Amino acid sequence: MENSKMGVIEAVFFVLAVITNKIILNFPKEIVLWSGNSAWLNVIYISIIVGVLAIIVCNLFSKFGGYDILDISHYLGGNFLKIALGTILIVIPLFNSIDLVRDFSEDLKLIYFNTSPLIFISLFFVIAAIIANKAGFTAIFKTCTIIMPIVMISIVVILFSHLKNFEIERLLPIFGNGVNETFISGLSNISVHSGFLFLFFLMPFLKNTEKYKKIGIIAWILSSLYLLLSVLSLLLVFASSTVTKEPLSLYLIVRTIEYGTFFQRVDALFILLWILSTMTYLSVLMFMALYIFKKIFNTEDRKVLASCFGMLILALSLIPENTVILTTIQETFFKYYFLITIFILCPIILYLASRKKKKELQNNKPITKNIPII
Amino acid sequence: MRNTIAVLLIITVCLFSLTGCYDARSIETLSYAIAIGIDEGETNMLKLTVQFVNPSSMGSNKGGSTSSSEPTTITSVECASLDSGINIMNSFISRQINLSQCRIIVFSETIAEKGISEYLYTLTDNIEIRPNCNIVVSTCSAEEFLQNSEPASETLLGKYYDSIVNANKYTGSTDDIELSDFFTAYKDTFREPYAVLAGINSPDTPMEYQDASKSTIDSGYVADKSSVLNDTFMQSIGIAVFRSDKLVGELNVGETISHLLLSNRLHQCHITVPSPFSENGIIDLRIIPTMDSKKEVTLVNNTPYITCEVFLSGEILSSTKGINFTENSNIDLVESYVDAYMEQQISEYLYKTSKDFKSDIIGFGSKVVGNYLTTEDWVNSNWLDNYQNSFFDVTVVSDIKVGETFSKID
Repeated sequence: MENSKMGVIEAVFFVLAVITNKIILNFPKEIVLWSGNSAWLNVIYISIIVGVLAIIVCNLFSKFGGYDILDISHYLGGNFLKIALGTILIVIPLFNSIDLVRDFSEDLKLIYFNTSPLIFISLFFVIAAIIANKAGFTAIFKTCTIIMPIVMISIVVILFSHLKNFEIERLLPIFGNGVNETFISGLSNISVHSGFLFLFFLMPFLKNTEKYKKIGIIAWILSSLYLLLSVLSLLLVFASSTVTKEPLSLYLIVRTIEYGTFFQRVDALFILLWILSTMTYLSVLMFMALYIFKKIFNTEDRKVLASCFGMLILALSLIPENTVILTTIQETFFKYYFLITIFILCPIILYLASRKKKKELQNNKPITKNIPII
Repeated sequence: MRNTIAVLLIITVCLFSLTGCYDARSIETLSYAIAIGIDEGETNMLKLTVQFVNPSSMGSNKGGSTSSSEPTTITSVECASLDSGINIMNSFISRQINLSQCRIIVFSETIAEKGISEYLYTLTDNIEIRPNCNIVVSTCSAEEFLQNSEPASETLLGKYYDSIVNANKYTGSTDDIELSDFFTAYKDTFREPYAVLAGINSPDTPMEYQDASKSTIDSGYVADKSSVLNDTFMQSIGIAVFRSDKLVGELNVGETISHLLLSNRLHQCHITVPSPFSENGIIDLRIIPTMDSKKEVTLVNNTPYITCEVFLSGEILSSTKGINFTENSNIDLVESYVDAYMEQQISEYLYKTSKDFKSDIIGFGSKVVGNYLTTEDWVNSNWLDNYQNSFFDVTVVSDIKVGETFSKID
């Protein structure tokens, strides 16, 4: 671990890198596709659930200052649980990286580089992520702190550029595709908040672990707000059936933006920002995968593995014949995988560990090595 | 040190691979289409006409005089689909066609009546075509339309196409309908799409209105039947009304103004109303909406009862001898005439869209959609079909002002 640690602002933007890129990478479209006109209601619903979970997790984590979920699983179930949980969790940043590289490269190819081989475009992102990971964690989170605010402002600019075209009636009928799709099966949309995973690994990287709860809550509020804004802007401007056919729904909005007769076709500027954002996000995901890998296998230096992971991500991203396969895997398997691991398994482990610790304290047993009493 | 060399090596490799020399596309290799015309084909499914800008004609001065080469090139092919048509064109013109500068897409009336959904999907899927290019329905063939689109007061063709639609900001004679508007309305469950109506005018067309009363002549014009006495030229007046993807009718200037007033898209326009002071007299007014129109829809035994309130201010532009506008009673009289005239115009427009065209281009459905809980219930209510049963109640509230210069003419 590097000497440099994150303050509140750096940590918040580190977590927000996930939601910002999920918005760019069409997750609002997936939600609209699932829930229809009630997608906004679905976002509020899942955000409230995530908020409650975030508060619970932050409270439980405050008892394990300075430790991440893998340390806690080690405390609860020894090496076996740590390795098992690590193996389950490493799949999340890896799949997200593969999905990100392939998806965004395909979108760029479609928009600008029609004749360029996909591997060149993908390589561009992978090499950036490898270099960032070799430069170290400090470089990654500082890049997040620079890029993410700009990207987030750009998203707000996009949304408000269409203010005059908003039609409030497009949010109706209130239950869209149905009550089930909004509240029951729509719960699977919670996977859009997969940035929640970072909260389980954030503690060791904080300058002040007492600010953990504050970071968690700010990140949750901003993530939910951005997701709601992006879904609202899509619903308020376009018919929901129009949104669902676009590869990049945010690009659909950007293409129609004109600022008078002087500033037309501003989409190129936004694409440039999204490229930077995607590079940053890929670096973050690769860092997370390397960090978990290091924890599982007790490797000394994760930096040397950066190139291997980069090439692995590149190779795996090129395997699917098209992005439809990746989307299908995401919708039919990983959506639920994220839901179960991030929002059910990890909080349960955290809860059981805190109970174990409470019992040990009550029975005046010596506290298991490495877990301090707070 | 070894790491630095490795990183530099990777970057160097990237630089070579990403410069795109082998697949570079530059202005010398592309041919920019400004307009696309789609007609029904004679020997194939459709006839595709593309209007290109001739790069050599733009601003090329030779010894102080502008190059005499034609500013545009128009090419037509018979083909099975849009993409195959462009592919055929690519094979015989020396450059690759690029649609990123396309300003208008013209459909002929004949093909629009048969349905244009297939072309709409192709056009919206094409990443080169901007969502803000205008959708135009031509009363003549699209090929003829493009051939007669000669910019008179504009030197740039693209700007010319922009200006003919932008003129609606001060004429109210048509609407600025873009591809994304049209496609969204087509996909909407509470609205039908409409497009700009345009046509080719010739000097003999005004004769069609010789029997109409003076005040209704100007508002009765449509795209190819206006009274401009110039040579043959292109004109965009009116709106082409669609039901789903099929053209079902056309609106004239007066009906277009009514449509713009109700949809809150009118900036300003001129109207001519019968004078309350003399039998054959007329009064010209510039009208500007003062606030958004209010629309309410009530379902009475599943029959839509629609009430509309329109608020506008009017400025009297011209008058006739013997009228004294310094007296309030005279202004009140004009106000009541304007209210009655506009109410009649708007009601006629609404009943035309409802009973004749069966097409809710205003989007009154958006006022009813909140009565339903799910999209399935809403779609099953079949609003777009039910719109033809609608009844309307229109109220116009005008505030007429008079210019100081001609407030009293003895």
